[in-house]
Amino acid sequence: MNEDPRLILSARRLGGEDDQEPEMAAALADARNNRALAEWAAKETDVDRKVADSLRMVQPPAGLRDRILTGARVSRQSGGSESGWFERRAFGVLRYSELVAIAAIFVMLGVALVYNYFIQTPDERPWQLFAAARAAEIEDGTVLIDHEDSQYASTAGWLGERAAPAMATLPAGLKTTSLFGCSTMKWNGKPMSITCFSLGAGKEAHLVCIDVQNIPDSLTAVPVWTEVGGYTTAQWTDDGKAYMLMGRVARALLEPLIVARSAALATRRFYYYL
Amino acid sequence: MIPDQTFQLLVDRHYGALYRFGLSLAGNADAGSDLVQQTFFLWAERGHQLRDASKAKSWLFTTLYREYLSTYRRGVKYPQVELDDTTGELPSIAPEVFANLDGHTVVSALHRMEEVFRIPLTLFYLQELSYKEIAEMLEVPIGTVMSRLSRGKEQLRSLLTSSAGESGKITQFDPRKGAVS
Repeated sequence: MNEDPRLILSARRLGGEDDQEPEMAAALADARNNRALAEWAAKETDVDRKVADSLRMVQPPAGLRDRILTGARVSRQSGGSESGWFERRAFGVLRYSELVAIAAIFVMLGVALVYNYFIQTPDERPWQLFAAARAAEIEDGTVLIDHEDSQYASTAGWLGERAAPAMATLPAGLKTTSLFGCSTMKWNGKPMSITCFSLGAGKEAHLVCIDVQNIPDSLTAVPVWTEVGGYTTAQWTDDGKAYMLMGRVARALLEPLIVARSAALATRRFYYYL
Repeated sequence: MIPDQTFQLLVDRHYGALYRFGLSLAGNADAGSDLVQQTFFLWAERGHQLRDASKAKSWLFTTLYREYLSTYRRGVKYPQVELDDTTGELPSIAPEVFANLDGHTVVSALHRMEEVFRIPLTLFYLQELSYKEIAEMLEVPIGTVMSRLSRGKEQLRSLLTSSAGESGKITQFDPRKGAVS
């Protein structure tokens, strides 16, 4: 970026929070060496401070904080329904945009039904890319996971009840990794599962599972490492299922999660060759 | 679920600034309050999925903005203010303008601005987000945010000065009724 120092300084927060950003640091250095620019910046800051201080004087309506906190409690008690929040709205007339949204939902449901029963357009993405897109949505918080759980036994049970494929027993590395839930999905109509783990420091790993007869790939029992949609992945098959372990982290962080399995396989192969 | 204490802390820390942002966007106190409540409702529902706690503030502002876009934007008319294309010196403001400056005057002036300048400028004056976070939230390049802030300040100062000049005093803003044109 090669912006005018004045443009950059215009965006500077008054507490100096942005001063370490490279372009801001460069603009501030320019100002130190340019008296006219320094004077301009000082006036700019003065005006900005007065406007910001004035804006801060606007106080929220009395009772808003309590309504927020009460609403949250009601929402939780009612299992997340909005009933506690918008009583005022509920007795009023729906806004035009809300009516449009409701109509749009019905139209989309209709379209989805038609596609499901008559057309079923195939997803042209490979299953790995499809799963990577879902993992990214989960990590970014744009899609909710279906089931929150910290135990694998109950997670696998939940997936089984929904006829979604799941790994029977986790490798030792994944067993000791913090699990936070799972989701089911369908790739070209075929059931798939994604189980989500936290690696700490905001990083996550996801274990994707699909029945091997539902994919065109010919994977092997030995994990193959490759990059898919910005994720480091290991892909392998076992017991009629295809697996993909994925994370936006280096291979070195993911490998220990399935190392026991790799070691066991290596040992098995070693004895086989003997 | 997010523990009550954490939720309350988050509300206490951010609901004031979020209300000011909502008020500036929607133009009246009821709509601004609705936006804040809906934002925290969504946080109570989904906030636990945010893995990086340092992004909570940014998440709240972004969510309020998106709620505004999906709920209120259609019904609001934005007065257009002609601006010269050149980005020269910002208009100077007479000292008496500052002497009479208060929060409602600023909100009133902000609400009369073109939305493309008003939103980044309000976020800037709330001083909660960096220009990079504002760019991310509005999904525009950083250079565009800087340019809009510069042009927006120009527009805001013109509005504050003309308001003071027209009536001899600053136009007051009634948050219960909306912006006074």
